[in-house]
Amino acid sequence: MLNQKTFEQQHKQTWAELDECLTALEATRLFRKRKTDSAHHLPTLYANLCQHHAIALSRGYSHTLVDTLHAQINRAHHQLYRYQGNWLARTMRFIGGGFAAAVRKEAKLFGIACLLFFGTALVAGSFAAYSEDIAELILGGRTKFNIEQMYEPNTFDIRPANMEDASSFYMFGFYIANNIGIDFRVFASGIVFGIGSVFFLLLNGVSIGAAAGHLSAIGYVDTFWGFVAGHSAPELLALCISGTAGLMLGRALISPGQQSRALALLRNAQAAVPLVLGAGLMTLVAAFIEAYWSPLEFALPIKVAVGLLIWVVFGAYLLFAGRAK
Amino acid sequence: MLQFAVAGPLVRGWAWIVDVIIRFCLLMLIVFLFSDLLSNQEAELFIAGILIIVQFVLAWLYTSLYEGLTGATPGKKMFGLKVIHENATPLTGSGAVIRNFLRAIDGLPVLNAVGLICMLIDNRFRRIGDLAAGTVVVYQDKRPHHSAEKAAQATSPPASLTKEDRQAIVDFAERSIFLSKDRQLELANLLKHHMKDESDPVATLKGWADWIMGGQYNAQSKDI
Repeated sequence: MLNQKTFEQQHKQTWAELDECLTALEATRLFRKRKTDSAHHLPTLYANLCQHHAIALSRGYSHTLVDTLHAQINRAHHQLYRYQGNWLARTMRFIGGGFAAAVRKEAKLFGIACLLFFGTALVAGSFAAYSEDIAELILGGRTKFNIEQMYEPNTFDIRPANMEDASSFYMFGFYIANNIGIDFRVFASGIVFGIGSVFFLLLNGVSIGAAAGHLSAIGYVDTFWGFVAGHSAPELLALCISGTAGLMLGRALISPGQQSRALALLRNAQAAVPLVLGAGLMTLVAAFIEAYWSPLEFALPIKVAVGLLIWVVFGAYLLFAGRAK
Repeated sequence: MLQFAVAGPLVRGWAWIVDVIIRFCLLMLIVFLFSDLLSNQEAELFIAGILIIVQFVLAWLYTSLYEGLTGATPGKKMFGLKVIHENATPLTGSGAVIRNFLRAIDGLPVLNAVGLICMLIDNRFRRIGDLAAGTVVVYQDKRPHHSAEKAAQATSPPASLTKEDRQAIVDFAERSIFLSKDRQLELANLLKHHMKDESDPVATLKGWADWIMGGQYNAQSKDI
Protein backbone atom coordinates (compact mmCIF):
# COMPACT_ATOMS: atom_id res chain seq x y z
CA MET A 1 0.00 0.00 0.00
CA LEU A 2 1.14 3.45 -0.89
CA ASN A 3 2.15 5.44 2.16
CA GLN A 4 0.72 8.85 2.80
CA LYS A 5 3.75 10.94 1.95
CA THR A 6 4.16 9.34 -1.47
CA PHE A 7 0.43 9.70 -2.06
CA GLU A 8 0.59 13.38 -1.20
CA GLN A 9 3.66 13.78 -3.37
CA GLN A 10 1.90 12.16 -6.32
CA HIS A 11 -1.17 14.35 -6.21
CA LYS A 12 0.31 17.56 -4.92
CA GLN A 13 0.14 19.14 -8.32
CA THR A 14 -3.52 18.31 -8.95
CA TRP A 15 -4.45 19.78 -5.59
CA ALA A 16 -2.45 22.93 -6.21
CA GLU A 17 -4.08 23.32 -9.61
CA LEU A 18 -7.53 22.93 -8.12
CA ASP A 19 -6.73 25.37 -5.34
CA GLU A 20 -5.61 27.94 -7.86
CA CYS A 21 -8.72 27.41 -9.95
CA LEU A 22 -10.99 27.74 -6.91
CA THR A 23 -9.24 30.81 -5.61
CA ALA A 24 -9.75 32.49 -8.98
CA LEU A 25 -13.41 31.49 -9.11
CA GLU A 26 -14.06 32.58 -5.55
CA ALA A 27 -12.67 36.01 -6.33
CA THR A 28 -15.50 36.65 -8.79
CA ARG A 29 -17.98 39.12 -7.46
CA LEU A 30 -21.32 40.37 -8.56
CA PHE A 31 -20.11 42.93 -11.07
CA ARG A 32 -16.70 41.56 -11.91
CA LYS A 33 -16.41 39.19 -14.82
CA ARG A 34 -14.71 35.91 -14.11
CA LYS A 35 -11.32 35.76 -15.73
CA THR A 36 -10.25 32.21 -15.18
CA ASP A 37 -8.91 30.14 -18.00
CA SER A 38 -8.62 27.10 -15.82
CA ALA A 39 -12.33 27.07 -14.95
CA HIS A 40 -13.13 24.43 -17.52
CA HIS A 41 -10.73 22.04 -15.76
CA LEU A 42 -12.82 22.26 -12.62
CA PRO A 43 -15.10 19.24 -13.24
CA THR A 44 -12.13 16.95 -13.96
CA LEU A 45 -10.14 18.24 -11.01
CA TYR A 46 -13.21 17.88 -8.82
CA ALA A 47 -13.72 14.27 -9.90
CA ASN A 48 -10.05 13.51 -9.23
CA LEU A 49 -10.24 15.12 -5.83
CA CYS A 50 -13.30 13.08 -4.87
CA GLN A 51 -11.42 9.93 -5.82
CA HIS A 52 -8.39 10.99 -3.79
CA HIS A 53 -10.61 11.65 -0.81
CA ALA A 54 -12.21 8.23 -1.08
CA ILE A 55 -8.81 6.57 -1.33
CA ALA A 56 -7.43 8.51 1.62
CA LEU A 57 -10.46 7.56 3.66
CA SER A 58 -10.29 3.85 2.83
CA ARG A 59 -6.56 3.59 3.40
CA GLY A 60 -6.80 5.30 6.74
CA TYR A 61 -4.56 8.23 5.98
CA SER A 62 -4.32 10.88 8.64
CA HIS A 63 -7.43 12.83 9.57
CA THR A 64 -5.69 16.05 8.67
CA LEU A 65 -5.28 14.92 5.08
CA VAL A 66 -8.80 13.51 4.86
CA ASP A 67 -10.28 16.69 6.32
CA THR A 68 -8.22 18.90 4.04
CA LEU A 69 -9.41 17.01 0.99
CA HIS A 70 -12.99 17.13 2.27
CA ALA A 71 -12.80 20.89 2.72
CA GLN A 72 -11.49 21.26 -0.81
CA ILE A 73 -14.31 19.09 -2.13
CA ASN A 74 -16.81 21.39 -0.45
CA ARG A 75 -15.20 24.42 -2.02
CA ALA A 76 -15.24 22.84 -5.47
CA HIS A 77 -18.81 21.59 -4.99
CA HIS A 78 -19.88 25.11 -4.11
CA GLN A 79 -18.34 26.53 -7.27
CA LEU A 80 -19.73 23.77 -9.48
CA TYR A 81 -23.29 24.10 -8.31
CA ARG A 82 -23.69 27.79 -7.66
CA TYR A 83 -26.03 29.81 -9.81
CA GLN A 84 -24.12 31.25 -12.72
CA GLY A 85 -26.14 33.60 -14.80
CA ASN A 86 -26.65 37.17 -15.64
CA TRP A 87 -28.85 38.40 -12.82
CA LEU A 88 -29.72 41.58 -14.69
CA ALA A 89 -30.98 39.66 -17.72
CA ARG A 90 -32.83 37.34 -15.36
CA THR A 91 -34.54 40.29 -13.70
CA MET A 92 -35.53 41.78 -17.03
CA ARG A 93 -36.94 38.45 -18.18
CA PHE A 94 -38.88 38.23 -14.95
CA ILE A 95 -40.44 41.66 -15.30
CA GLY A 96 -40.90 41.22 -19.04
CA GLY A 97 -43.21 38.25 -18.66
CA GLY A 98 -41.84 35.61 -16.32
CA PHE A 99 -43.86 37.06 -13.48
CA ALA A 100 -47.11 37.15 -15.46
CA ALA A 101 -46.54 33.59 -16.64
CA ALA A 102 -45.98 32.47 -13.05
CA VAL A 103 -49.28 34.05 -11.99
CA ARG A 104 -51.17 32.47 -14.92
CA LYS A 105 -49.79 29.10 -13.94
CA GLU A 106 -51.70 29.47 -10.67
CA ALA A 107 -54.79 30.95 -12.30
CA LYS A 108 -57.11 28.83 -10.19
CA LEU A 109 -55.64 29.86 -6.86
CA PHE A 110 -55.40 33.46 -8.09
CA GLY A 111 -59.11 33.29 -8.88
CA ILE A 112 -59.82 32.02 -5.37
CA ALA A 113 -57.69 34.79 -3.85
CA CYS A 114 -59.50 37.42 -5.95
CA LEU A 115 -62.85 35.97 -4.98
CA LEU A 116 -61.92 36.03 -1.30
CA PHE A 117 -60.76 39.62 -1.47
CA PHE A 118 -63.03 41.31 -4.01
CA GLY A 119 -65.99 39.16 -3.03
CA THR A 120 -65.88 40.18 0.62
CA ALA A 121 -65.09 43.74 -0.41
CA LEU A 122 -68.23 43.83 -2.54
CA VAL A 123 -70.41 42.30 0.15
CA ALA A 124 -68.99 44.45 2.95
CA GLY A 125 -69.19 47.51 0.70
CA SER A 126 -72.84 46.90 -0.12
CA PHE A 127 -73.77 46.46 3.52
CA ALA A 128 -71.77 49.51 4.58
CA ALA A 129 -73.39 51.60 1.85
CA TYR A 130 -76.84 50.34 2.82
CA SER A 131 -76.60 51.24 6.47
CA GLU A 132 -74.30 53.55 8.37
CA ASP A 133 -74.73 51.41 11.49
CA ILE A 134 -73.31 48.40 9.71
CA ALA A 135 -70.44 50.54 8.43
CA GLU A 136 -69.66 51.60 11.98
CA LEU A 137 -69.96 48.02 13.17
CA ILE A 138 -67.47 46.82 10.57
CA LEU A 139 -65.00 49.69 10.63
CA GLY A 140 -65.18 50.61 14.26
CA GLY A 141 -66.16 54.07 15.42
CA ARG A 142 -62.72 55.61 15.42
CA THR A 143 -61.66 54.35 11.97
CA LYS A 144 -64.99 55.44 10.53
CA PHE A 145 -64.50 58.90 11.99
CA ASN A 146 -60.91 59.06 10.73
CA ILE A 147 -61.67 58.16 7.14
CA GLU A 148 -64.63 60.53 7.13
CA GLN A 149 -62.26 63.28 8.23
CA MET A 150 -59.66 62.26 5.69
CA TYR A 151 -61.91 62.33 2.67
CA GLU A 152 -64.06 65.29 3.77
CA PRO A 153 -64.39 67.18 0.44
CA ASN A 154 -64.07 70.69 1.94
CA THR A 155 -60.82 70.03 3.71
CA PHE A 156 -59.43 67.29 1.52
CA ASP A 157 -55.71 67.55 0.95
CA ILE A 158 -53.61 64.99 2.65
CA ARG A 159 -50.46 66.94 1.91
CA PRO A 160 -49.70 69.90 4.17
CA ALA A 161 -49.44 73.19 2.29
CA ASN A 162 -45.97 74.22 1.05
CA MET A 163 -44.53 70.80 1.74
CA GLU A 164 -45.92 68.82 -1.14
CA ASP A 165 -42.60 67.24 -2.17
CA ALA A 166 -41.49 66.21 1.27
CA SER A 167 -44.93 65.01 2.17
CA SER A 168 -45.24 62.94 -1.00
CA PHE A 169 -41.88 61.36 -0.37
CA TYR A 170 -42.77 60.58 3.21
CA MET A 171 -46.00 58.95 2.10
CA PHE A 172 -44.09 57.06 -0.60
CA GLY A 173 -41.86 55.57 2.09
CA PHE A 174 -44.83 54.81 4.27
CA TYR A 175 -46.74 53.06 1.46
CA ILE A 176 -43.67 51.00 0.57
CA ALA A 177 -43.05 49.82 4.10
CA ASN A 178 -46.68 49.28 5.00
CA ASN A 179 -48.15 47.82 1.82
CA ILE A 180 -45.24 45.66 0.67
CA GLY A 181 -44.89 44.48 4.25
CA ILE A 182 -48.54 43.41 4.15
CA ASP A 183 -47.94 41.51 0.88
CA PHE A 184 -45.02 39.62 2.38
CA ARG A 185 -46.93 38.81 5.54
CA VAL A 186 -49.92 37.58 3.56
CA PHE A 187 -47.55 35.18 1.81
CA ALA A 188 -45.71 34.02 4.91
CA SER A 189 -48.87 33.40 6.91
CA GLY A 190 -49.99 30.96 4.22
CA ILE A 191 -47.67 28.40 5.83
CA VAL A 192 -50.36 27.86 8.49
CA PHE A 193 -52.35 25.61 6.11
CA GLY A 194 -53.32 28.68 4.10
CA ILE A 195 -55.42 30.00 6.97
CA GLY A 196 -53.29 33.11 7.46
CA SER A 197 -53.54 34.15 3.83
CA VAL A 198 -57.28 33.57 3.73
CA PHE A 199 -57.67 35.55 6.92
CA PHE A 200 -55.67 38.54 5.65
CA LEU A 201 -57.46 38.53 2.29
CA LEU A 202 -60.84 38.53 4.02
CA LEU A 203 -59.77 41.12 6.57
CA ASN A 204 -58.48 43.51 3.91
CA GLY A 205 -61.50 42.86 1.71
CA VAL A 206 -63.91 43.66 4.51
CA SER A 207 -62.18 46.82 5.71
CA ILE A 208 -61.39 48.25 2.27
CA GLY A 209 -64.83 47.33 0.94
CA ALA A 210 -66.64 48.79 3.94
CA ALA A 211 -64.64 52.02 3.74
CA ALA A 212 -65.35 52.36 0.04
CA GLY A 213 -69.05 51.58 0.47
CA HIS A 214 -69.53 53.94 3.37
CA LEU A 215 -67.64 56.86 1.79
CA SER A 216 -69.57 56.43 -1.46
CA ALA A 217 -72.87 56.37 0.44
CA ILE A 218 -72.19 59.61 2.28
CA GLY A 219 -71.24 61.30 -0.99
CA TYR A 220 -67.44 61.57 -0.73
CA VAL A 221 -67.18 60.13 -4.22
CA ASP A 222 -64.84 62.70 -5.73
CA THR A 223 -62.30 62.65 -2.96
CA PHE A 224 -62.30 58.93 -2.24
CA TRP A 225 -62.61 57.41 -5.70
CA GLY A 226 -60.52 60.18 -7.20
CA PHE A 227 -57.74 59.35 -4.77
CA VAL A 228 -57.78 55.56 -4.96
CA ALA A 229 -58.54 55.10 -8.67
CA GLY A 230 -54.95 55.46 -9.85
CA HIS A 231 -53.15 53.04 -7.59
CA SER A 232 -55.98 50.59 -7.02
CA ALA A 233 -55.01 48.22 -9.83
CA PRO A 234 -51.40 47.41 -8.90
CA GLU A 235 -52.06 47.52 -5.16
CA LEU A 236 -55.11 45.28 -5.05
CA LEU A 237 -53.88 42.87 -7.71
CA ALA A 238 -50.57 42.56 -5.86
CA LEU A 239 -52.42 41.79 -2.65
CA CYS A 240 -54.33 39.01 -4.40
CA ILE A 241 -51.13 37.70 -6.00
CA SER A 242 -49.30 37.50 -2.70
CA GLY A 243 -52.43 35.87 -1.33
CA THR A 244 -52.13 33.33 -4.14
CA ALA A 245 -48.52 32.66 -3.12
CA GLY A 246 -49.67 32.12 0.46
CA LEU A 247 -52.45 29.79 -0.67
CA MET A 248 -49.84 27.76 -2.57
CA LEU A 249 -48.03 27.10 0.72
CA GLY A 250 -51.32 26.09 2.26
CA ARG A 251 -52.21 23.84 -0.66
CA ALA A 252 -48.89 22.01 -0.30
CA LEU A 253 -49.82 21.08 3.26
CA ILE A 254 -53.52 20.42 2.77
CA SER A 255 -53.43 18.50 -0.49
CA PRO A 256 -49.88 17.58 -1.44
CA GLY A 257 -50.99 15.14 -4.14
CA GLN A 258 -48.70 12.27 -5.07
CA GLN A 259 -45.78 13.49 -3.00
CA SER A 260 -44.85 13.92 0.61
CA ARG A 261 -45.96 17.10 2.34
CA ALA A 262 -42.35 18.12 2.83
CA LEU A 263 -41.59 17.81 -0.87
CA ALA A 264 -44.84 19.51 -1.87
CA LEU A 265 -44.01 22.40 0.45
CA LEU A 266 -40.54 22.68 -1.06
CA ARG A 267 -41.85 22.79 -4.61
CA ASN A 268 -44.77 25.10 -3.93
CA ALA A 269 -42.61 27.52 -1.97
CA GLN A 270 -40.15 27.55 -4.84
CA ALA A 271 -42.92 28.27 -7.33
CA ALA A 272 -44.42 30.94 -5.08
CA VAL A 273 -41.27 33.08 -4.95
CA PRO A 274 -41.85 34.80 -8.33
CA LEU A 275 -45.37 35.69 -7.21
CA VAL A 276 -44.20 37.23 -3.96
CA LEU A 277 -41.38 39.22 -5.51
CA GLY A 278 -43.60 40.33 -8.40
CA ALA A 279 -46.30 41.39 -5.95
CA GLY A 280 -43.68 43.39 -4.08
CA LEU A 281 -42.63 45.16 -7.27
CA MET A 282 -46.25 45.89 -8.21
CA THR A 283 -46.88 47.35 -4.80
CA LEU A 284 -43.79 49.49 -5.25
CA VAL A 285 -45.33 50.86 -8.44
CA ALA A 286 -48.61 51.35 -6.57
CA ALA A 287 -46.81 53.24 -3.80
CA PHE A 288 -45.25 55.56 -6.37
CA ILE A 289 -48.60 56.26 -8.01
CA GLU A 290 -50.29 56.68 -4.65
CA ALA A 291 -47.70 59.16 -3.45
CA TYR A 292 -47.19 61.23 -6.59
CA TRP A 293 -50.30 60.92 -8.73
CA SER A 294 -53.24 60.12 -6.50
CA PRO A 295 -53.12 63.34 -4.40
CA LEU A 296 -53.08 65.58 -7.47
CA GLU A 297 -56.25 67.54 -7.99
CA PHE A 298 -57.89 66.58 -11.25
CA ALA A 299 -61.53 66.14 -12.09
CA LEU A 300 -63.01 62.80 -11.13
CA PRO A 301 -63.56 61.60 -14.72
CA ILE A 302 -59.87 62.10 -15.53
CA LYS A 303 -58.81 60.30 -12.37
CA VAL A 304 -61.15 57.43 -13.04
CA ALA A 305 -60.13 57.21 -16.69
CA VAL A 306 -56.46 57.02 -15.75
CA GLY A 307 -57.29 54.46 -13.09
CA LEU A 308 -59.16 52.31 -15.59
CA LEU A 309 -56.32 52.62 -18.06
CA ILE A 310 -53.91 51.33 -15.40
CA TRP A 311 -56.29 48.45 -14.70
CA VAL A 312 -56.30 47.59 -18.39
CA VAL A 313 -52.50 47.79 -18.58
CA PHE A 314 -51.97 45.49 -15.61
CA GLY A 315 -54.75 43.18 -16.71
CA ALA A 316 -53.25 42.87 -20.17
CA TYR A 317 -49.81 42.35 -18.67
CA LEU A 318 -51.00 39.52 -16.45
CA LEU A 319 -53.00 37.96 -19.26
CA PHE A 320 -50.60 38.20 -22.17
CA ALA A 321 -47.03 38.95 -21.10
CA GLY A 322 -44.60 36.08 -21.34
CA ARG A 323 -46.76 33.78 -23.40
CA ALA A 324 -44.85 31.31 -25.56
CA LYS A 325 -44.90 32.39 -29.19
CA MET B 1 -20.16 11.84 0.73
CA LEU B 2 -20.16 15.50 1.69
CA GLN B 3 -20.55 16.07 5.37
CA PHE B 4 -21.42 19.18 7.32
CA ALA B 5 -21.76 20.05 10.95
CA VAL B 6 -25.28 21.44 11.47
CA ALA B 7 -25.46 24.63 13.52
CA GLY B 8 -27.63 24.57 16.63
CA PRO B 9 -30.07 27.13 18.03
CA LEU B 10 -27.58 28.75 20.40
CA VAL B 11 -24.94 29.79 17.88
CA ARG B 12 -27.66 30.81 15.43
CA GLY B 13 -29.24 32.85 18.19
CA TRP B 14 -25.97 34.68 18.72
CA ALA B 15 -25.64 35.30 14.99
CA TRP B 16 -29.19 36.64 14.95
CA ILE B 17 -28.45 39.00 17.82
CA VAL B 18 -25.38 40.30 15.98
CA ASP B 19 -27.47 40.91 12.88
CA VAL B 20 -30.08 42.76 14.93
CA ILE B 21 -27.37 44.93 16.44
CA ILE B 22 -25.80 45.63 13.03
CA ARG B 23 -29.16 46.69 11.61
CA PHE B 24 -29.92 48.84 14.62
CA CYS B 25 -26.54 50.55 14.27
CA LEU B 26 -27.10 51.18 10.56
CA LEU B 27 -30.42 52.82 11.32
CA MET B 28 -28.87 54.90 14.08
CA LEU B 29 -26.06 55.88 11.76
CA ILE B 30 -28.54 57.29 9.27
CA VAL B 31 -30.36 59.19 12.00
CA PHE B 32 -27.02 60.55 13.15
CA LEU B 33 -25.90 61.55 9.63
CA PHE B 34 -29.10 63.42 8.96
CA SER B 35 -29.54 64.91 12.40
CA ASP B 36 -27.88 68.17 11.34
CA LEU B 37 -30.39 68.57 8.58
CA LEU B 38 -33.34 68.55 10.92
CA SER B 39 -33.77 72.28 10.46
CA ASN B 40 -37.38 72.47 9.39
CA GLN B 41 -40.47 70.40 9.10
CA GLU B 42 -40.00 69.72 5.43
CA ALA B 43 -36.56 68.17 5.95
CA GLU B 44 -37.95 66.19 8.83
CA LEU B 45 -40.57 64.66 6.58
CA PHE B 46 -37.95 63.76 3.98
CA ILE B 47 -35.76 62.07 6.56
CA ALA B 48 -38.70 60.28 8.08
CA GLY B 49 -39.49 58.94 4.60
CA ILE B 50 -35.93 57.74 4.11
CA LEU B 51 -35.92 56.11 7.55
CA ILE B 52 -39.13 54.24 6.86
CA ILE B 53 -37.77 52.88 3.59
CA VAL B 54 -34.42 51.93 5.12
CA GLN B 55 -36.16 50.26 8.03
CA PHE B 56 -38.31 48.28 5.61
CA VAL B 57 -35.28 47.19 3.57
CA LEU B 58 -33.38 46.18 6.71
CA ALA B 59 -36.34 44.27 8.07
CA TRP B 60 -37.27 42.34 4.92
CA LEU B 61 -34.37 42.37 2.48
CA TYR B 62 -31.17 42.56 4.53
CA THR B 63 -31.06 38.86 5.35
CA SER B 64 -32.41 37.70 1.98
CA LEU B 65 -29.92 39.77 -0.01
CA TYR B 66 -26.91 38.84 2.11
CA GLU B 67 -27.74 35.16 2.12
CA GLY B 68 -28.76 35.11 -1.53
CA LEU B 69 -25.53 36.72 -2.65
CA THR B 70 -22.98 35.36 -0.18
CA GLY B 71 -24.68 32.50 1.63
CA ALA B 72 -24.47 34.13 5.05
CA THR B 73 -25.48 37.31 6.86
CA PRO B 74 -22.66 39.23 8.56
CA GLY B 75 -23.77 37.76 11.87
CA LYS B 76 -23.61 34.21 10.52
CA LYS B 77 -20.22 34.90 8.96
CA MET B 78 -18.93 36.10 12.30
CA PHE B 79 -19.82 32.77 13.88
CA GLY B 80 -18.54 30.76 10.92
CA LEU B 81 -21.99 29.72 9.72
CA LYS B 82 -23.47 29.53 6.26
CA VAL B 83 -26.78 28.48 4.71
CA ILE B 84 -26.82 25.70 2.14
CA HIS B 85 -29.48 23.59 0.50
CA GLU B 86 -30.08 20.09 1.74
CA ASN B 87 -28.25 18.62 -1.25
CA ALA B 88 -25.18 20.64 -0.21
CA THR B 89 -25.48 23.06 -3.11
CA PRO B 90 -25.07 26.77 -2.43
CA LEU B 91 -28.14 28.72 -1.34
CA THR B 92 -30.12 30.03 -4.30
CA GLY B 93 -31.83 33.39 -4.45
CA SER B 94 -35.31 31.93 -4.12
CA GLY B 95 -34.16 29.74 -1.25
CA ALA B 96 -32.94 32.86 0.51
CA VAL B 97 -36.26 34.64 -0.12
CA ILE B 98 -38.35 31.74 1.19
CA ARG B 99 -36.41 31.10 4.37
CA ASN B 100 -36.15 34.77 5.23
CA PHE B 101 -39.68 35.87 4.38
CA LEU B 102 -40.98 33.05 6.54
CA ARG B 103 -39.21 34.70 9.45
CA ALA B 104 -42.53 36.54 9.72
CA ILE B 105 -43.90 33.24 11.07
CA ASP B 106 -40.77 31.87 12.72
CA GLY B 107 -40.40 35.13 14.61
CA LEU B 108 -43.80 34.83 16.26
CA PRO B 109 -44.87 35.68 18.85
CA VAL B 110 -41.63 37.16 20.17
CA LEU B 111 -37.92 36.37 19.89
CA ASN B 112 -38.26 33.66 17.23
CA ALA B 113 -40.18 31.38 19.60
CA VAL B 114 -41.97 29.46 16.85
CA GLY B 115 -38.73 29.00 14.93
CA LEU B 116 -36.94 27.84 18.05
CA ILE B 117 -39.56 25.24 18.89
CA CYS B 118 -39.49 23.99 15.30
CA MET B 119 -35.68 23.79 15.42
CA LEU B 120 -35.75 21.79 18.63
CA ILE B 121 -38.19 19.29 17.14
CA ASP B 122 -36.33 18.89 13.85
CA ASN B 123 -33.32 16.62 13.72
CA ARG B 124 -31.31 19.11 11.69
CA PHE B 125 -32.29 22.25 13.58
CA ARG B 126 -34.41 23.56 10.71
CA ARG B 127 -36.97 26.25 11.44
CA ILE B 128 -40.14 26.58 9.37
CA GLY B 129 -38.42 28.79 6.82
CA ASP B 130 -35.70 26.19 6.39
CA LEU B 131 -38.25 23.42 5.91
CA ALA B 132 -40.05 25.35 3.19
CA ALA B 133 -36.85 26.41 1.46
CA GLY B 134 -35.05 23.08 1.85
CA THR B 135 -32.09 24.66 3.60
CA VAL B 136 -29.86 23.97 6.57
CA VAL B 137 -27.52 26.23 8.48
CA VAL B 138 -24.10 24.62 8.80
CA TYR B 139 -20.63 25.46 10.01
CA GLN B 140 -18.31 26.75 7.37
CA ASP B 141 -15.30 24.50 6.87
CA LYS B 142 -12.27 25.49 8.77
CA ARG B 143 -9.30 24.72 6.57
CA PRO B 144 -7.26 22.15 8.44
CA HIS B 145 -3.54 22.45 8.05
CA HIS B 146 -0.73 19.98 8.33
CA SER B 147 0.98 20.48 11.59
CA ALA B 148 2.88 17.29 12.29
CA GLU B 149 6.11 17.91 14.10
CA LYS B 150 9.11 16.39 12.51
CA ALA B 151 10.23 13.41 14.54
CA ALA B 152 13.89 12.97 15.21
CA GLN B 153 13.90 9.75 13.29
CA ALA B 154 11.38 7.36 11.91
CA THR B 155 11.17 4.10 13.82
CA SER B 156 9.17 1.10 12.82
CA PRO B 157 6.07 0.50 14.91
CA PRO B 158 4.81 -2.89 16.03
CA ALA B 159 3.58 -5.03 13.17
CA SER B 160 0.16 -5.82 14.54
CA LEU B 161 -1.30 -2.35 14.09
CA THR B 162 -4.73 -2.04 12.52
CA LYS B 163 -5.73 0.78 10.19
CA GLU B 164 -7.38 2.61 13.07
CA ASP B 165 -4.29 2.20 15.27
CA ARG B 166 -2.08 3.71 12.61
CA GLN B 167 -4.49 6.56 12.09
CA ALA B 168 -4.61 7.25 15.83
CA ILE B 169 -0.82 7.37 16.04
CA VAL B 170 -0.55 9.79 13.13
CA ASP B 171 -3.33 11.92 14.61
CA PHE B 172 -1.39 12.04 17.84
CA ALA B 173 1.67 13.37 16.04
CA GLU B 174 -0.32 15.87 14.01
CA ARG B 175 -2.26 17.19 16.96
CA SER B 176 0.61 17.20 19.41
CA ILE B 177 1.28 20.89 18.84
CA PHE B 178 -2.10 21.57 20.46
CA LEU B 179 -1.22 19.43 23.50
CA SER B 180 0.94 20.27 26.47
CA LYS B 181 4.10 18.26 27.03
CA ASP B 182 2.55 16.58 30.05
CA ARG B 183 -0.56 15.56 28.15
CA GLN B 184 1.58 14.22 25.30
CA LEU B 185 3.54 12.11 27.76
CA GLU B 186 0.38 10.93 29.43
CA LEU B 187 -1.04 9.75 26.12
CA ALA B 188 2.21 8.23 24.89
CA ASN B 189 2.62 6.31 28.14
CA LEU B 190 -0.51 4.34 27.31
CA LEU B 191 1.50 2.57 24.62
CA LYS B 192 4.71 2.31 26.63
CA HIS B 193 4.52 -1.44 27.06
CA HIS B 194 4.64 -1.86 23.26
CA MET B 195 7.88 0.08 22.99
CA LYS B 196 11.33 -1.42 22.88
CA ASP B 197 12.95 1.73 24.11
CA GLU B 198 10.85 3.19 26.90
CA SER B 199 13.08 6.17 27.70
CA ASP B 200 11.12 8.72 25.64
CA PRO B 201 7.65 7.45 24.72
CA VAL B 202 6.60 10.71 23.03
CA ALA B 203 9.55 10.71 20.66
CA THR B 204 9.08 7.02 19.93
CA LEU B 205 5.42 7.53 19.15
CA LYS B 206 6.21 10.44 16.83
CA GLY B 207 8.86 8.26 15.21
CA TRP B 208 6.20 5.63 14.58
CA ALA B 209 3.94 8.25 13.08
CA ASP B 210 6.69 9.38 10.78
CA TRP B 211 7.31 5.80 9.75
CA ILE B 212 3.61 5.23 9.04
CA MET B 213 3.37 8.42 7.00
CA GLY B 214 6.51 7.94 5.00
CA GLY B 215 8.21 4.66 5.70
CA GLN B 216 7.20 1.47 3.97
CA TYR B 217 5.00 -0.23 6.49
CA ASN B 218 5.18 -3.98 6.21
CA ALA B 219 4.68 -7.10 8.20
CA GLN B 220 8.37 -7.89 8.26
CA SER B 221 8.96 -5.41 11.00
CA LYS B 222 10.67 -7.26 13.79
CA ASP B 223 9.82 -4.90 16.60
CA ILE B 224 7.16 -6.03 18.99
